[in-house]
Amino acid sequence: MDWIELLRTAVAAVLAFVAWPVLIYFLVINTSYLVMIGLATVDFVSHRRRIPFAGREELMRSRTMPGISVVTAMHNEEMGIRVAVESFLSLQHPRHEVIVVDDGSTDNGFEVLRKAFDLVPVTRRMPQDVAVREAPTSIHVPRDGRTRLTVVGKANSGRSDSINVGVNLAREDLVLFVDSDSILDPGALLAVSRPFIEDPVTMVAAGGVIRAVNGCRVKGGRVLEVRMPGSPLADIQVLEYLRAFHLGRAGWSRINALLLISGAFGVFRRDALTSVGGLDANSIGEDFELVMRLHRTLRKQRKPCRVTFLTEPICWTEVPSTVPVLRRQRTRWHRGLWETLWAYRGMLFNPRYGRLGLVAVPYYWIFELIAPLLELVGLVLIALGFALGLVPWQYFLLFMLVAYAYAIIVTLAAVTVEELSFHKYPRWRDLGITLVAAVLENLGYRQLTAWWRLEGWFAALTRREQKWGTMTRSGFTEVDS
Amino acid sequence: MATQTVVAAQLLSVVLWVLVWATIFLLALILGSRAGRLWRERRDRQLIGELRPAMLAVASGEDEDSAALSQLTTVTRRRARVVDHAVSAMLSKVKGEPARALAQVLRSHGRSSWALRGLNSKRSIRRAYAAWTLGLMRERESGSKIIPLLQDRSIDVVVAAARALTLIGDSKAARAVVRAVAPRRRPRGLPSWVAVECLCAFDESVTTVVLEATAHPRPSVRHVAATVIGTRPLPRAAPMVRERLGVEEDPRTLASLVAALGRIGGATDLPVLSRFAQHPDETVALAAVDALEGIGLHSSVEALAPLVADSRPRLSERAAVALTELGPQGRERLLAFANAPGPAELPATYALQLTAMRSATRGLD
Repeated sequence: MDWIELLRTAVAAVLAFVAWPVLIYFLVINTSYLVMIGLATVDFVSHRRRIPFAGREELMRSRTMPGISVVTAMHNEEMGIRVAVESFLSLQHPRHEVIVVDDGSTDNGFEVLRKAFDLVPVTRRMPQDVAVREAPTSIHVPRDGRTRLTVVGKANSGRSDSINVGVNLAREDLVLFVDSDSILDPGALLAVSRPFIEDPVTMVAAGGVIRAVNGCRVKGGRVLEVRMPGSPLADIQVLEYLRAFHLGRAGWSRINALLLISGAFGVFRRDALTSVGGLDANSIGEDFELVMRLHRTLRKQRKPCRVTFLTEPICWTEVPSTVPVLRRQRTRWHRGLWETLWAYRGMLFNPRYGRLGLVAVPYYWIFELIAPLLELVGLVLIALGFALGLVPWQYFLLFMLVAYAYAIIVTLAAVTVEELSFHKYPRWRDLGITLVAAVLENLGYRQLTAWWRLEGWFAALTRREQKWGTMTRSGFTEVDS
Repeated sequence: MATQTVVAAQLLSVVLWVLVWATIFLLALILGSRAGRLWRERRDRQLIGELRPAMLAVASGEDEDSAALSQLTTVTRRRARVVDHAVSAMLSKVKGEPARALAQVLRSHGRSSWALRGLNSKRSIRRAYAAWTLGLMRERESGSKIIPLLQDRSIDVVVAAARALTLIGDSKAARAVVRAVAPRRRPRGLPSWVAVECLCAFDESVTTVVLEATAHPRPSVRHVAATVIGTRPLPRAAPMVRERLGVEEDPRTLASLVAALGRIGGATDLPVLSRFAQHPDETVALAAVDALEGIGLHSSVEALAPLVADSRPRLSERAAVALTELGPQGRERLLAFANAPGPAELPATYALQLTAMRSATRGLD
């Protein structure tokens, strides 16, 4: 069997060549996660300590609090839109308005809102701060003239374009983007406005914590009881959100090098947002792209610019509970990552952008973009080495144990920080599920998501048509009382 | 062919053992912290349970015979810690006699001397809580001891000190508060809103400090000064505001100065504000429209009316809505705009629609 010998020789050569780099890569990537968790911990500790004298109650009365426009796009969401809008309107804030942009819904979503809020048409001139593909066809407000709700009708043109329409109609200094199927904690608006009154001159954007609502008990657009989802796929995503989105971004924010604010919950200073042209309706990773553009444009203009991440405000959103939906989401995310990093490659190792250009952007290239490729290559090589008898089984087992034990440690460190700080999941059962999910994540889930991310990258490189796909939602667990 | 071992198996074994022990440590930490927290919560609930009615009676000012107060001041040392925690949480929300009574509870448990000792602690969190506790107790004589903490290396201590001084109302701290907004040694300054609330809580003697701050080299300090002038408001600052309007470069600060002039200015400022309503930065222009409305004189109508035809829809709409707030004269101008085709037609129609809807439902409120 000459070809097997040939393969053995080839695999042996490749292993000898890439083994150390791949090993070091794994070591560095997991250590970098630990460093981020460490940085986030400092932030959390400081935040928790400050709570007694931080003046959260005083914020509501503060005369310096800027107004905020909550902008959300809806497309065929008649089932949940009324509850969502009611919940947005009832958020604690001294001056906020809600703008719902109906992105060409074909269901009765608008009718539901019209009846619920007694909407009547008004005539308004729409500012053209941000270019849009589809202009509004109608603008409605509640008949009482006081409820600060605006419902805009327009032809279907996608979420980003709809949000841009909302930005144009926004009247307040701050603009919050939120998905219409997300749930905000009552104090989320106050907390998310806080960085802008702490540093009104340089703060341009802030992102907040997003957690999975799957499994939680919800009533009237409020999360009453936080629970783990109970399905392994969603449980693992809860951990992912905690590790990567919560602690990871808090860590980046701590060193003032935050590159990503989630489109599901992000607040921007309106003048800064419009000065860079709003969301890019052609981008598939529009949230990442927007923050990169803000950094690049404002730095070029030598305008002071700070982007921060808040550990406190909570936005609850449903995470995919089926494999096909999760696959679509992950391929889209990675495609958006690649396209944005490529579009902004000029920032890579560019000292003009300070820590962003020298640390954050290179990190995203090396550890976010390439990670799935290297992980799968490493896995395939070691498995091939084992299958071809190049690597003894004891060694193979030891190697895999070490690799995944380190990953489990990183996740456990994240769970520890959560337990010591916010401890949002009060039930012991949920803690048990969390710990099991920390192990299960490494048995198939991790490898599958790495593969899907590669698919997204490949789709971008081969310029396949961009599709958002449909996020099939199973809805919240509403309680009766 | 020889088998491949990238890293010595012994090394991997050692690493694995380290990881296993780290896992055990983290698991113990997670389980231990949760168990400890739940135990503490239960214990605190039990300790405070029967004292809660007394605390509420003192906090609401319904403790006429001081029975509740004496119950709280004579608790055991173990209970005192939990009571102090709950009383501190209440103190930041109450004023007047109930606040004095709650502060007395803390003093009776020795919190005053504990806090004074803590101001010089090596631990930043201890210094922060010490300053905050003195602030909660409104210990006026300790104000001079808290002021140096505004230059502390820890931002938590600075925030706690500033908020404590806000509660105490010691205007001697004004200069130190302004300095804390733009510190030389610390990367982060005192949050703007904390500084504003602090300077607004002090007496009129802060005016000089605020006026000086309007010309500070750092825009964050100038912004605080401009906001304080408009928020308090400080009418004596009007000449300085007019002067700064001509030289201010930071658009956010400029908007705050314009807003301040709307609060403290008069009829003579209408031409200046009208000019700023044409400012290319929309934030400044919108602040000018609000300021024109804020001045609220008959001549404000004349200043706002041309703005309804402004090419910027947000500005024209804000001007139109402002006119509806300025009485029959403003609404008459809008009616005229609404009935004549032109750039002012739509904003005027919208503002009138809004007014009509509000009037129609006024009785239903």
